[in-house]
Amino acid sequence: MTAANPFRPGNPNCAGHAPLPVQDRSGGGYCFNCIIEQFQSPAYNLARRMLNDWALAEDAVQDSFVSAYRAFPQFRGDNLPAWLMRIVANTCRDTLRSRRARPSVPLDPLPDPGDNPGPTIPSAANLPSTAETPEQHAERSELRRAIAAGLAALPAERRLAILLVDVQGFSYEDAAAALNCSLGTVKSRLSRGRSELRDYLRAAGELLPARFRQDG
Amino acid sequence: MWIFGKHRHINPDTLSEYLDDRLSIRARERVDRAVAACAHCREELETRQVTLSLLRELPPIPPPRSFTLAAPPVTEPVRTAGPAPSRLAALPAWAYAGAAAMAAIALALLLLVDAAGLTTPQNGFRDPDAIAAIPQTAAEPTSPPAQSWLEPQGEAMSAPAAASAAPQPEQTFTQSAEPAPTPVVEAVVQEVIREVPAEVATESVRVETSEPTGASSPDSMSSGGAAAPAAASSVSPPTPAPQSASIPDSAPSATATPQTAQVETAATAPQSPAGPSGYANGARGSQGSPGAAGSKGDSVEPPPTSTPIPTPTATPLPTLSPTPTAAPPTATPTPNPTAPPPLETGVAVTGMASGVAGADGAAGGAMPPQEGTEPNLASESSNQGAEPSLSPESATPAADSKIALRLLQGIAAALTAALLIAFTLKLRRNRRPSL
Repeated sequence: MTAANPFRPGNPNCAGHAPLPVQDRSGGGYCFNCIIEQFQSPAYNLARRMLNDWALAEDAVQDSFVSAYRAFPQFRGDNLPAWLMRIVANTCRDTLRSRRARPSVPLDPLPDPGDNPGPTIPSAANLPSTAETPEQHAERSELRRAIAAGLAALPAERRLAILLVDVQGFSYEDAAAALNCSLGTVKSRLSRGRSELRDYLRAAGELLPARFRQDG
Repeated sequence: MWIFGKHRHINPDTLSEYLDDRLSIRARERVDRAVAACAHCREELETRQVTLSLLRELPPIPPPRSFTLAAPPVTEPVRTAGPAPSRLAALPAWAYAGAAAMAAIALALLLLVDAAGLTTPQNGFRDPDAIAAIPQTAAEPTSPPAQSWLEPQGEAMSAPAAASAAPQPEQTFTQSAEPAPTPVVEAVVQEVIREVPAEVATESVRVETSEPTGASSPDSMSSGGAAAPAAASSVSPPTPAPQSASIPDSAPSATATPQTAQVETAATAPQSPAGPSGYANGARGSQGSPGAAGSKGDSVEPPPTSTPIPTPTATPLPTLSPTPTAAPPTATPTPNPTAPPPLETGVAVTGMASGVAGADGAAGGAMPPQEGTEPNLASESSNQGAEPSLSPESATPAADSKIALRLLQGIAAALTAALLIAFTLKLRRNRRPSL
C-alpha cells in the first residue's frame, strides 16, 4: 500500500484541508486528513445505522478518528479501511454499552435515514425527480424505515456484519478483519442476520414491495 | 438437494454465499438444481435475494460535517498537575467503614473495662472521687491537731501563727491525697536517710524550708505538703534540746490526741530514727523529703529515745483508740513554738493517717487501733515490714494503668471519628451526579 499510497502527504487532495502527516509502523507517510475525507462517509454511515442517533454517531466518528490518529504509529499499513472500520465498530460498541447502562431519549426525533439531511432550500433544483411518483416515494420511505427498524432489532454483531458486507460492500475477509473474527463467523453472522431481517420484513408484509408481498 | 432419494433443503449459509457469489462452480450448479426442483428452496432464495437487494439499495447517509482535524490532537492525555492520588484514596469505601467499626468496638471495650472498674485502684488513692471525699470524711476530725502543727511552722517562717489555721485542712488533705511513694522510691529515700550525714541533711532541709508560701498555699498542693514538715524540721535544729525537752511535756498530750494516733502511720517511715518526721517526708513523696527526714531524725534524735514520742511513731493507728477523746484539749491549745516539732511530726503523720483511713478503708482496717498510745520500737520494726502492704504502693501501678486506659480511650475515640469522617468523604466522592 505504501507504493500506491493515495494518502501520501502533498497529494492533490491535500489542498482542501490542513496537512496532518502521520506515519505508520513501517514508516510510510500519510496525510491523515486525506484519510478522514476518504472514509468519513462510510464511518458515519456505519455509526449512524449502528447507533440510530445522529448526535451519537457524530461523536463516535470524531472519537474514532482521534483514536485512529493516536494509534496510527501502530498501523501496519496493510488494510486501512478494515483498520479504520474496526476502530469505528469498537467505538460504536462502547457507545452502545454506555447507553445501555444509562439509557437516554433524544429530544429531537430521528431524521429519516433515507432522506437527504442536507439543507433543503426551496428551489427548483431541490424538487423531487419526476421519475418517482409520490406513492412510490412514500412506499420507498416506509420500506427504508422498516429496514432501519429491522436492522436495529438485530444483535449488534450481526448488524455490524450486515452493515459492513451488505451495505458498505466489504468483502468477507475485510469484514472479518474489521470485526476481528474469523471468516466462518462472518458467514454465519451474515446468514443469520439476513434471515432475521427477512423474517422481520415478512412480518410487516405490507411494507414490502408488491412482488415480495405476492410471494409471501 | 437430493440425498439418497430424499430431498434436503439447502443450508441458509450456502444460500447466502450463493447470493454473494462465493461458491465454487460445482456448488453453484448444485444450488441451481435444488432451487429448480424445490419450491421451498426457491422461495428461500428469492426472499433472501430481495432482502439483500433492499440492503444494498440503501442510500449512503452523507456526513453532516467534515471530520477533518484542524490541528493534531494531543497524543497523550495531559495529567493535571497535582499530588498523586494516595493509596488511601484508592481504598474502597467499605475499608473505611470496617476500620471505623473496629475502632468503635475497641473504644466500646475500653469504656466497658473502665466502667467495670477493672483498673480502678482498690485503695482509691488516685481516684479523684475518693480524693474529693477525703476532706469531708477524714480530714475534719484531724483538723485541730493540724492547726497545732502548722502554727509553729508559721512562726518559724516568721508568719503569723493564726494565719496558718485555714490552710491546715488542705495540708492534711494534700498529704493524704498525695501520690504515695512507690516501694522503690521509699527504699531510695531510706537509703539516703541512712547515708546522708545529719548536718548535710539539716542544711538541705533548711534550703527546702526557704519556701514558706508553698506550705500554706492550696495551689501548690504537693509542694505544700512537702515544705511544711521541712519547715518544721528546720525549726528544730536551732533548738534541739528545748524541743526534745518540750516534747516530753507535750508528748503525753500528743500521744493522747488523735494526731498522735496517726503518728502510728509514721511507722510507715521505717528506718528513720525520728519516725514521725521521717514518715511525714516519706508520705510526702520523693521530693527532697529524704533530706528533711534525715534532718528531722537527727534533730529529734534525743526526744525519741527519751520521750514516748518515738513510740507513737511506731504504733500503727493505735492512737485512734481511746486516748483521742481525753487529750485533744491539751494538744490543740499549745501554740508554743517549741512544741510544734513533735506535734508537727505527729500532725503530719496524722494527716497522712487520716488520709489513709478516710480514703482507704482497707488501710484503716489493716491497722487496727491499738490500746496503748505508746507503741514500742519492736512494733515499729514490725510495721516497717507491713508498710509495703499499704495502699500507696498498690495505688501507683493501678493509677498508671488507669492513665494508660484513658489514653487508649482517647486514641480510639479520635481514630473512630477520623475514620468515620474519611468514610463519609469517600462516599461523597464516589457518588456520581445523577442525570
